[in-house]
Amino acid sequence: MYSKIQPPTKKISKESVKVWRMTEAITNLIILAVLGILLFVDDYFTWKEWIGWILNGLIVLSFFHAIWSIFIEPILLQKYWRYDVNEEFIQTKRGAWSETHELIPMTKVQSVKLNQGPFLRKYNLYSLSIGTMGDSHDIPAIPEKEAYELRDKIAHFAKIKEVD
Amino acid sequence: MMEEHAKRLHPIKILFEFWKLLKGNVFFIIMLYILNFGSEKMYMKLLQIGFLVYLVWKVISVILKWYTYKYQIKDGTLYITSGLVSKTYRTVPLHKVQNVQQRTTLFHKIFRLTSLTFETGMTGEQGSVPFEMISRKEAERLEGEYSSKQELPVIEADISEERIAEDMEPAIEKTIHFTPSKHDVLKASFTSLSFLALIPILATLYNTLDDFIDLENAEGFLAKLLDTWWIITIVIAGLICVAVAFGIVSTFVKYGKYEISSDHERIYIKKGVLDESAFSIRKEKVQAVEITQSIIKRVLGLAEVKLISAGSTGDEELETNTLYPFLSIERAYGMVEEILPAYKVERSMRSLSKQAFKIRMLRPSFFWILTTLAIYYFKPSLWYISLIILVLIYTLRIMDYKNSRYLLNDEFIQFKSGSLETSLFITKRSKVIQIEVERSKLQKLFGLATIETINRSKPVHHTKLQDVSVEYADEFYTWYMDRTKNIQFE
Repeated sequence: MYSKIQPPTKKISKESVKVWRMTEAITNLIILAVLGILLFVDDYFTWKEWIGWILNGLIVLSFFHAIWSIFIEPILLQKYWRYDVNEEFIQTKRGAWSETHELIPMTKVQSVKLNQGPFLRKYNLYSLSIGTMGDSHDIPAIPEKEAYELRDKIAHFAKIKEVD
Repeated sequence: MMEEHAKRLHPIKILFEFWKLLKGNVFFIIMLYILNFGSEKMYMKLLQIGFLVYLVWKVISVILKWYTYKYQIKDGTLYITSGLVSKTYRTVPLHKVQNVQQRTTLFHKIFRLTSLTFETGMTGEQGSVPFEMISRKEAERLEGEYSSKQELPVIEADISEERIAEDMEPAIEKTIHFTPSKHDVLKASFTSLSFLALIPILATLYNTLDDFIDLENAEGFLAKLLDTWWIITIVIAGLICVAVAFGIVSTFVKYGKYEISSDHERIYIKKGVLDESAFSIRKEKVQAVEITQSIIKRVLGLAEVKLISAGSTGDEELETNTLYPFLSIERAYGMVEEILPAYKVERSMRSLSKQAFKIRMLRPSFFWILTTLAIYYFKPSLWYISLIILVLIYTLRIMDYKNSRYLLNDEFIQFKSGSLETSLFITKRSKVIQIEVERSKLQKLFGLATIETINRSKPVHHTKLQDVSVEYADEFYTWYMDRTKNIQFE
């Protein structure tokens, strides 16, 4: 794959695992709570039998999903996420099972944005989102200093406009 | 002459808006003022008054909207002011315009007017700048401004009438590349199966007739008639003739007056007999070219060529950006090179490897697994459906494998894929805004990868080709990296 080009090497922060775990934990808790309430209501009003079956099935499924997305997925995401920015291109590479490589020319970048939610703030991290003509691309969880530098770097490089 | 004034749309626009208003509210108007005219009920009176106030308000606002909407072109920039209380000022640099569309509906024709739309690449409603009711001369002038300002970046503020006429001259020196002959229309009407469109119309006709005349009782008479074989033959032959004639007429109305032409800077596509539409795009604004062939078209050796623009191309049904959809395949390739001299279409392309065939046979089909499980669980007696689905899936896969082709040709990339309908996508490296390479675990095992390009269009155009060799994906990556060598900077 990378015979003539340097593969991207920069990693995202290790703390991202914790951030993802917390967000996923909360999301899954909400899903389980909603399903739990529905199951209770189902029991209370004695809805049709098949509704109970579906609810039970969904609870089992979301339980497995919770285990996957809280304990396993964040580690894999962080471990395989790479990015790099140079004068001409932004490169990203991600995915453990199926690998995706992206190549975005600097001249096509339209905007750069830093985001910080409550969990990211706790670890002093930022997620960087790069808007191009059609899409937006996120680099999640970069330490504050690096994030600011990266934003300014991209903004500077992206100033050069090509004729489209 | 002095500097041009800000202009309004043609006053017929008000009439047009009134017509739209009437059409939209016809139900309420009939309900309130005809069926319940002079009603004694209190709430009815209130409703009548309330709705009248609403209508009056609408009428006034239509007039005010027309009055306050003004536009002006100055130094290659379009300025639009609108709004009475809160004013909106829009500035559209004409060099950002991606394509121009003109539509002349029957309504326009009655008043000898037309509508013109400038499409910019912006997302959302802000993307297009429509002029709904303008005179044909004004439309010509606006288009002329658009093409002249592109060439001469600095233009004196006072433009004389002669000057405009001069500027429009190159536009007249057009080369016509294609107008359909009678033979083409015939071919088109059979390929598009337009004669089948008669069936639903006949069915509706039968139903409506049935409401008025008792066709049930007439059936006895009909049955007697149908006993004689020669009457049946005549009836069927007659029906076929009517269907074919109908098909040809409807095809002629849609595709009859086609004209593809170009001058040194723009491509023009004109079509339609009753409802005319015209599309024009600057050659360098063409983001990509797509040549599609349905299965019928493949058998007959026909193809459809589409020019991909970064701006919206209007109503999907109108296919404004399509070169004639029933070109012979050779003519289609030739036409692309004719109208876009910067494009080179290479006919022979690389096909996928044996490895790709293996992976496509091995890749599990989740759709098949799920349906089979469902059939096994709910109705095992229908087991043969699972088999039919499996055969179908594999047929489509083999067809797609056979149809898949790819090529990196200097500055160009060509992808072709599809099972029943194939599509060949050709674009220039400088027009590709992003690329992606994806490798699943299975593909890694076989040394394959999926390559994808993203182009500007509305919505963004993703083109994917599955299962090329990793070495090729690498070459693809390097090819794109080299784009910096020959792009132009502002």
